[in-house]
Amino acid sequence: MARLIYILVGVMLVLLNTYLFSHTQVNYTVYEEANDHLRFLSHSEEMLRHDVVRIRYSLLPNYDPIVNNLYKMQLLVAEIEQGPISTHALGISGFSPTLERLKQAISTKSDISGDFKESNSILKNSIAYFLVTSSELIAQTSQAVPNNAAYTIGLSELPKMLLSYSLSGEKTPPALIQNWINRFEAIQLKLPKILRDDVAGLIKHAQVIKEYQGRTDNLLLSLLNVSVEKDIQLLVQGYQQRFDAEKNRARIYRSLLYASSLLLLAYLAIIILRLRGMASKLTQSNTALHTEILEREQVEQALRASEKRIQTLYDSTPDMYFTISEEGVVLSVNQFGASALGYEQDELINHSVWEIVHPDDLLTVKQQIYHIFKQGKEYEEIEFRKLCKDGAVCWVHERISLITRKSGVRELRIACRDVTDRKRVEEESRERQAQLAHLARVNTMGEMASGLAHELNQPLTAISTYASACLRMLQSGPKTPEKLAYGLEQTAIQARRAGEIIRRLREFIRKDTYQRTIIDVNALVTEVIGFTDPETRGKGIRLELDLNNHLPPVQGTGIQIEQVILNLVRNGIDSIHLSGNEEGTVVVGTSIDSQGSVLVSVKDNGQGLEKKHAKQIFEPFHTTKSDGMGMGLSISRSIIEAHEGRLWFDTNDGVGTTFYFTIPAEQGVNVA
Amino acid sequence: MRNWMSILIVPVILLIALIAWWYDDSLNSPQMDAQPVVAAPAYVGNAEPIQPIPLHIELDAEKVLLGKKLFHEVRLSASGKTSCASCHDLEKGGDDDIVLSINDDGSLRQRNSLTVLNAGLKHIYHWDGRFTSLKVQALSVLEFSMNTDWPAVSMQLEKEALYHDAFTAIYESGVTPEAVADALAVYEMSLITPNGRFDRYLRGDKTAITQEEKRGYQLFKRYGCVACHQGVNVGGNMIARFGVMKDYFKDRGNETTADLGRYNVTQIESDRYRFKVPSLRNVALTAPYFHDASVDSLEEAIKTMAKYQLGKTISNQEVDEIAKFLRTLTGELNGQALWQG
Repeated sequence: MARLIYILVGVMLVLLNTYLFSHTQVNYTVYEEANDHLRFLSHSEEMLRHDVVRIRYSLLPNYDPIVNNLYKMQLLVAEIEQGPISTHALGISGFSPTLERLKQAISTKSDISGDFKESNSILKNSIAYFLVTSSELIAQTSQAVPNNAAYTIGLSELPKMLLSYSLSGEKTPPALIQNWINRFEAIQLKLPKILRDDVAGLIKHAQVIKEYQGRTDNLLLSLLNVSVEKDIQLLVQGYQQRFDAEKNRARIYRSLLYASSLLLLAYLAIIILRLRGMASKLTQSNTALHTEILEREQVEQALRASEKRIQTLYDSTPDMYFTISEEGVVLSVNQFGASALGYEQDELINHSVWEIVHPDDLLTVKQQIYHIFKQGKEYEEIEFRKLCKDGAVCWVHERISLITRKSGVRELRIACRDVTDRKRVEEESRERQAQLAHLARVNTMGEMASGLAHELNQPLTAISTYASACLRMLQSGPKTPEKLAYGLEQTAIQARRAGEIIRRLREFIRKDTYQRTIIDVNALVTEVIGFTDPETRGKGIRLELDLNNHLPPVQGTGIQIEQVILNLVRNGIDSIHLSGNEEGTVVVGTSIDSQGSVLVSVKDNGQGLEKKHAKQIFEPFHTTKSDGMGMGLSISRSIIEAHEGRLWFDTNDGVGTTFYFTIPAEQGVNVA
Repeated sequence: MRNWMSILIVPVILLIALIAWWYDDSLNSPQMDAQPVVAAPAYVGNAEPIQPIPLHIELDAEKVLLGKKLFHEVRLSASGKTSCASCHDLEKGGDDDIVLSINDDGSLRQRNSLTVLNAGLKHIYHWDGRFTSLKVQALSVLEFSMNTDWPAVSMQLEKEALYHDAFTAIYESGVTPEAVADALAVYEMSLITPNGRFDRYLRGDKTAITQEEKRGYQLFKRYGCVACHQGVNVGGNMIARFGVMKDYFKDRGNETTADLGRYNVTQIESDRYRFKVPSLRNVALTAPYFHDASVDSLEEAIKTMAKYQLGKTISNQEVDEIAKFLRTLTGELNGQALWQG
């Protein structure tokens, strides 16, 4: 819209300028021509006046100038009346009467000049005749003429008089001329016949001169009186006024043209400035674009470099990277990932990922992956085994990220690390710990051997007693079978009791299977009490149980937990024994802590722990006992930590010590 | 800012226009004046009353050519037999040799035909001075003597490529009576007969004419003949009464309408017996003489003029000398001496 207005303004300005310019000039040539015509008209009039006077007073006339001038004047007036310089064509009004008068005057002049020419010709003719004839007559003999003197004088005087009269311009001839004419008329009759005709001619021509002199002069005067000068001046004024008006108009247009030209210049300047502004804006944006392109190129270069770096890293990093689709198809895998499993990249890409999962873990892994997609979990870590191409098994730890592309397609991006070595180390460490624990158990059993032997001895003694009694009954004759049956029954009970002790012992010192099972901590506590019973009785120490019957089950290796409890109980017994407390009591309690874990506490009222030992008691080979190896608490702690629990102790205000440990409850298993 | 500018723009433009008006130099531009271009020339009192014919006249060559063709064009007449050249034979002094001219319809005209030679140098045509321009004269002759049927003539001439091209090239209107008359007039203007022996004498060649002829010229002047027969054309520029000193028509008798002269045009009593003073250029070739063609020889004509215009009988010797002078007025047409009958 603004652009349209600009164009419109420009076009209007140009049109205005053109219009003004076309009116700035007066058509000078037309006026010059008109002026020339008027000047020639005036000039011709002037010449005509000169000519008629000259012709009148010269002896030999030539009327061509008169005729030509009159003709010229007619033509000039005709051109002023019509044609391109006419008053009509130039828009000068009110001059037709003037032109009519002019034409009339020229016509009148023409008419009068005709009469004048004739009259003048007759006059000149007569004068010429007079002069010629009189001189001829003088030359002829005058003897035959009477009154010779007067005749001769008359012949010489009269022509002079007539000539001077004709050139004088007098209207009436001097009386002397008439006198001489009268004399000649008187002489004429007396003259010889040969002269009579000539003299008669003389007299006649003299009369003609007399007559035509005045007539010619009258015609001359009337010719001169017919003036066109006034009308010519009127015309000149008319042209002048028109000319001035045109000049003034042109002057106004010129002035306006200057103004409008300045406007046009200003307009052009504005246009140029605007264009320059637009151009600089364009340049700016162009530069900006250029800079942006450069920056982008740099960024792209950096990106490419970075991509290359990442690709290198991606391929050479000692981690396996997989991208798999929702259907479990491998979309990409890095170089290391393929080679670590003994494959080429091409052998894995577009193949199912399940082929490289160990068959034992396949179900679990599939379920986990399914859960990720189903729940939309963005991050998950799993560990499982993979099968290499050569059939070898390797443990991997996978960090799985769920990626949703813009198109809605979801993929898993997997960073996978070979943890086979770690697994092996863990296995070895667990095995070592188990061996150590086993060693400790064997050692413990060795320490407890006398107590156990005593324990075993009781049923064996009872069996021996009941067997001897039964034998005696059989030897003593017929006795009631009821009594015998009781004896045998007791024997069997005692034998089972001994067997139970043997079984427990065997169980305890049996090597670990590392197999974690669901265990009941209360049952473990009860089993331990079975071991420690003889020792506590022998040393006069009371063992109390404070069991929570609603403990959640835990997962773990039962024999090792049992070992920990046994260790702690025996430490308590030893502590009481050392303190020499007569009222020694060990309380084993189970409960549930605030995290829902199973909390086991072993409390004694023995000598307690010195502060200086508090930090060292869990160190291996640290012991306060003369016969101890200093391994018990150290192994206990490592067992509890292997079960993701905690082991600590608390001094009971200087009277004994309480040891605590926790084992996390088995997840997903209902407490009830 | 913008409002200020729009308010200021009108007075600023007016101011600029005013300044431009003030400094405009149109006041110095030329003014009209009708003063004579040159002062009237000083006249030499004893200048010769006869001037030589200009050797050359500037004319439109195309019009001259067209006019020449039209001058000889018989189709301009109703009968298709008569052309301008029929009565104005350039070989015979620009007129015919017969007493009275014959119209296209075969009827006799009442006056002797005048020569067309040097017609452009005069402004009075026909014996009675009826026309003052060649063009009007040509139109009139075509209409009344040749009975031209203009529509037919225009059609006929338009058909001819030569005429068609020439007319359309020169005149925008094509073949019209005005165009034909104009072309004829321009052609006639070209028919000048300069460089006669007397002209050469006037131009300074004192040996161009003989002593006898010089005496004839002196007599021509002394007897006052030159009072009427003057100018370039030796006459032809005025009207005068025939028979100033003696009644010619009474002596001749058998008066006709044509004898009334200019009276026929003006109906003014004083114009009775007044005729155009004929040009004496090539007069030796234009016999017979006078409007009534009453005289066959130059000598007789001189005697007649002396008798009726001068009232004097002049001697045969003088007549002979004047006649000899008059014969030196024969000039050349287009550089060629005119045919001497």
